[in-house]
Amino acid sequence: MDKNCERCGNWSPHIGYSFLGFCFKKEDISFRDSFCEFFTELELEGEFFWCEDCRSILDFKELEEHRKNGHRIFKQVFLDSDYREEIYEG
Amino acid sequence: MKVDLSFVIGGFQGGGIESAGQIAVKAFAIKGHRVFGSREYHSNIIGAHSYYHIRVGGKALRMPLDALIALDAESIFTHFKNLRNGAILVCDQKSLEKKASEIPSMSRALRERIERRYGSQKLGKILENLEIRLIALPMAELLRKLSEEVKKPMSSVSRTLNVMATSAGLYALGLDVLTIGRAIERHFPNPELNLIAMEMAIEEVRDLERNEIPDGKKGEKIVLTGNEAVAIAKLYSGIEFLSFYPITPATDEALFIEENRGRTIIVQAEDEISALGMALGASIAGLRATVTTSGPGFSLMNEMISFAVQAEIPVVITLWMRASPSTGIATRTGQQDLLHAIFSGHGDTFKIVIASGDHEEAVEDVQLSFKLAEDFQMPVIHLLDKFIASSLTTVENKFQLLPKRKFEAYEGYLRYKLTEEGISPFVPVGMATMIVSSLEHDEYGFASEDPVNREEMMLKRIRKFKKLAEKVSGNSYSVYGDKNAELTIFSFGSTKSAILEAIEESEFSAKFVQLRILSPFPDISEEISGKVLCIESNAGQLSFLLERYCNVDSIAMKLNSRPVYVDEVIRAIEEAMNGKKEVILSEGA
Amino acid sequence: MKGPEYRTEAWVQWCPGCGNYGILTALREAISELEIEPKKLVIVSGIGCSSRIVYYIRGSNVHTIHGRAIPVASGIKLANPELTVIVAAGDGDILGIGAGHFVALGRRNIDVKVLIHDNAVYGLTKGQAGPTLPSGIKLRAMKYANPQEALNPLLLAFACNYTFIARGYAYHVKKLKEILLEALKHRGSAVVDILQPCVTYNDLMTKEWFESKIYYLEPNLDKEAVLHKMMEKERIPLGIFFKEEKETFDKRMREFEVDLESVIQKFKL
Repeated sequence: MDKNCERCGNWSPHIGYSFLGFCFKKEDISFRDSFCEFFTELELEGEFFWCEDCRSILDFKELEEHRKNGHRIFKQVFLDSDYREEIYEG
Repeated sequence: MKVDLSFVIGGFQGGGIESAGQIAVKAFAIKGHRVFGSREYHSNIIGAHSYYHIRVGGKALRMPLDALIALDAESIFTHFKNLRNGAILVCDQKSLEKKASEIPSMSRALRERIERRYGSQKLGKILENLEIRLIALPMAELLRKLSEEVKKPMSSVSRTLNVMATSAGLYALGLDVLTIGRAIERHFPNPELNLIAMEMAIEEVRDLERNEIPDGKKGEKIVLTGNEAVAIAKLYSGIEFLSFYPITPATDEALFIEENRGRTIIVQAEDEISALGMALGASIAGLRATVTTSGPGFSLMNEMISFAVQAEIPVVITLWMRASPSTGIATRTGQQDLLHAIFSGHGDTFKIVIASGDHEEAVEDVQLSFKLAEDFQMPVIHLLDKFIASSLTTVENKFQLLPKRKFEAYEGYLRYKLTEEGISPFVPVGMATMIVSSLEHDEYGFASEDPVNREEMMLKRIRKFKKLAEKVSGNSYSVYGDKNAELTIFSFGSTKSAILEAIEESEFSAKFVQLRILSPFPDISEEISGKVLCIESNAGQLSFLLERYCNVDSIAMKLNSRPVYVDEVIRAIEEAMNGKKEVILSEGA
Repeated sequence: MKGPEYRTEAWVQWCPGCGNYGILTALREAISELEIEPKKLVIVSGIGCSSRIVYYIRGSNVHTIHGRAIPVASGIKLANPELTVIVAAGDGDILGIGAGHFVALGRRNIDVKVLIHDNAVYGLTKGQAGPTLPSGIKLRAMKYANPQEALNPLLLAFACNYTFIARGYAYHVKKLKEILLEALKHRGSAVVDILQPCVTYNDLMTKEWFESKIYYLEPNLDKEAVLHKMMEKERIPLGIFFKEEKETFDKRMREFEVDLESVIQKFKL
């Protein structure tokens, strides 16, 4: 089914759990393979993107190359707001 | 039946490893067992691998692992080689589909090691080669079920994934549902959702064959990290001034004090030079003052330390060592600042350096540091390390109050009065006229270049240091084991627990001399029997100091920025007895 | 408690003609007029000719290390707010090596007065260019013309939120005393940039040079005008440029009682 969350323009994958992600329309987490009536095509426009395979931010110029290699690209990635409790920096 | 377990909870930073580890430690503590949890984390904000290594029934880390609770595939790739036969592996079913090449956050070195051994197989396939008890939980399904049952949004439910995996793992290890539930209740202010998640996860492993963990010693336990233990000890010691610059792993101690500070003055300085400068100023004005820092910050403090010695100003500097040199690895451990601490500050700068072996010693040493700093009017450097800072463990309540000082000025007060012991009565600025000076000075404090005065002041400070050496001579080190052992092990700091366990288990007769006060350095020549092995997490700094008193036959160096494990000490003892001069300890993921 | 109470038996080592004599006199007069008890007076200095002032005024003084008088003074003032804490050091000490701390004091607004003995050279180490010596100038003891531009202490202080900013001249002792009195009475971080000749090493900025350029500000200038005056280069305005009352650092930290037992309680199981 290719109208799942994974392909929806409202959705961003979770940074750690590959089967979860965040839906900006419903403002809640959903499963990657879910689907609902608010599906809209994902359009990769803008300055920066998230490449799930490389687990990093891409800029506009790098987009084509990663897309050609079959990487899964999204507009952004989702971070749980509690992550900062875990942080230790240098 | 003695309970002795060693297991790892691993995941990506930001995925709840901190909570998971704390729940596990608390659960075993509630059950009445000694438990020690070492936190390993990456020097970044989010996404990199981090883990808790937990030991039940002892205070040192050991391999192999009895269990691995893995919140992602990278955790499995990182730790699976340490699992013993029959060990438990709890993970998400989906992790088994991953290949090493599909995990960009994994270090290239690790990925290459795995691909060299296993090719590009999926994780599930690789695990088939091991004799382990695999518990692959259907996390996605559990999450769906939980969400339907509680009718809450997915975002609150998805946060229970770490608790699910951990609960299943703890149950598989033999803890009962009640205890695990209690730990969760103690950890979360609103535990309801997590308790339901726990039950759901344990349902999955309900029929697992397991050895139930018996009750340990019941009674109240205090569970603290090293940062917290030292912070509380400082509050009990009545500190009146703390200044710091944010640096890992010292910051947490300062923030804890700030949160509970009462009337302590706390200043976040613009740099470490200022931090120590302000603490010295406060001390000159009569307050009990301290700073906390790590290696790079301590480097900046050198000139101020020289000032504190020349001007005879009491201050306690807490130095949390980390992997060096330079920025090194900010979030990993090491013992590489020993010589730096002892020889810090240009000139003949006599100072006190104390190294704590574990959390309880850290608490005692905080108070000892303030007493010595104030009695002898010099800087005291309290050496600790990242391993102690971030380890969570059951601690005995040894916190004691330290009374405030009383000052008495007199007519014609002389700040640097020459005395037999070399110690001049201390009166703060504001109570008498004086000059506190970084220049060589006379008794009042006036700068003086006179050769006789100079000599007298140098001798005064030397005398003071000798008096100090006399005072601490009974407490500078501890000896464990048979007096006439065939091998004498020297070490300092957090290697203590691992070495103590190792000498119990080793087939060789070995004793352990743990150095606690390293400046003034004690004469340990009487304590030597048989061969000498020096164990330390640096390139030979303690060994360098020991060479003045004895021949160091072997040195075991831990250089990979991880803590010392019991097994590698056992191996080092064997190699030392077989005549190996240099042993490199490499355990730890 | 007038003048003589503050004299010490130390021999004053400055060169005859040094501007420090003027500053010493003005400071002693100001302190004397305020009747500050010597043991409650804390002068904190760094390293340099001017830093020797701690030996020449009876107080409960501290001679620290190069560039670091401000942190030590800050610690003293926070520890005992009843003390009068004055930092006295040269321009090289406070604006060169100590610049970071100079900035921080402004941000904190701790009630410490910073007196900059500003002669544009490092006197005690034989006359190198100081932070306030403009570029292109070659003084007597320098091998080459100064390649580094001067900074503007007044603008820097303003940018760092000092709540009292003034400039004086060492040999106008009476006027300097008035400025110092105001600085001492002010509650908050204060800086007085005191221009002085260095008769041994600064053969450009001599007594005559200063006295041909300096003039005193009219009172009650608005902020716009004050900033212009701070930037003025052809002539050198003196006086109090800026003053405002603001919450000091100690007031920004609230105190509370803490029960240590309850702190441990949180960690008991």
